[in-house]
Amino acid sequence: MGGIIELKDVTKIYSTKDTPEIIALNKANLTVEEGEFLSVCGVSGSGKSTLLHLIGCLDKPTEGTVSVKGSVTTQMNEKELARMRNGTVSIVLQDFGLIPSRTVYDNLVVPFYFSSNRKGMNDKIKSALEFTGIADLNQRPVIKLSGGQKQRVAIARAIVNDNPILLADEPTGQLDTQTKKQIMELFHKLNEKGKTIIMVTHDIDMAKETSRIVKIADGSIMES
Amino acid sequence: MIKLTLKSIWEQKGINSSSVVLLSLVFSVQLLLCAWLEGILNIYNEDIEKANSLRLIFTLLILVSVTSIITLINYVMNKRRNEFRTLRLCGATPTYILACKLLHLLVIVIVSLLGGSILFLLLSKILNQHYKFNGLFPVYILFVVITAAELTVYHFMHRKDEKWAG
Repeated sequence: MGGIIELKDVTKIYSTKDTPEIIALNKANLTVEEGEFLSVCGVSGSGKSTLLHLIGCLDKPTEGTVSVKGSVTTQMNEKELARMRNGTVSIVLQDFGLIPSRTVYDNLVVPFYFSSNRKGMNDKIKSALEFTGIADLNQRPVIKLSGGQKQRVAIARAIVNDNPILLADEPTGQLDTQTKKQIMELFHKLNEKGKTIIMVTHDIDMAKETSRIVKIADGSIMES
Repeated sequence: MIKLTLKSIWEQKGINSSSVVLLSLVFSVQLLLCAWLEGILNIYNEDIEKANSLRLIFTLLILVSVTSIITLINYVMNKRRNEFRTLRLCGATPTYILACKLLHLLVIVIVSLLGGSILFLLLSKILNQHYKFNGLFPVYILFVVITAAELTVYHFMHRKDEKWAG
């Protein structure tokens, strides 16, 4: 296995007693090299988010293997998957995934609750806030921030633990054109610093800014 | 580590004061209604037909009140859904999230029951001048037992919907 992320013949089937089986991913193969900035494009329901969830250690495939930074996540238990989410893969969501009633600082502290390395926590938080340009919003409740500011907080939280892989699920979906550009600039800066980034998007213009585009349709990766 | 984890559970799952006030009010009103009906039942104890029909209303009222409480608690828990998801994204295990949920639920129910009981005692003292309450204790116990049982059933019925939070 060569890349920082490797998917081999990955199939994900969702099934419940009441509904028929849904094949979200069908024998998908993908290799992502370290330091790459990759975008995943496809229509709604094509399997983009499922792919991100599998790489992000939020779910396990029905068949096939997923390897993240040399570790096969398919064989991991819940505790090990949680450790991966805390120390290897960070996720930025379209709806930000923040705690609205809490301050920006409180939201950035959350990853440290589950980390064994809390040394220099405040310095790391300060540095993440400065990098994302929201150092002055430190004590402001998230609920009082604009969409762009919330996404910056989400990115700051994603980088505060210095995880090498950053996954973004439609990170600019709820933002205006100007803010989209600013968020994309942040991703480029992070990529220049060596982060591997996978961004799921509908927006082809945003996708064109990345180093590689992967298209996904009906659970199959069409080209990479 | 344990101290920090418990602290984090408490901080992240700190109960919302307005939800508790709302639940306390609902509990106290329902307890008052139960006590009032129990009082009526005792008054009409000799008229079996009337007492039986009142018992039916009494049972229906309990069912309605339990459903309303479950709806309210579900509403409060849903408001926290984002937070459970955030914890999961940041590295919490499903067991930790389940512990957070149970603790959150427990705190809401206990605090609301206590709040409701205090409110009930205060209100019943005022209303006692007009209505005589008898046999309140069994009603109270029944009420709590039914609520707890329904909450348990409700929790397990909706577990599959909470895929995100583990």
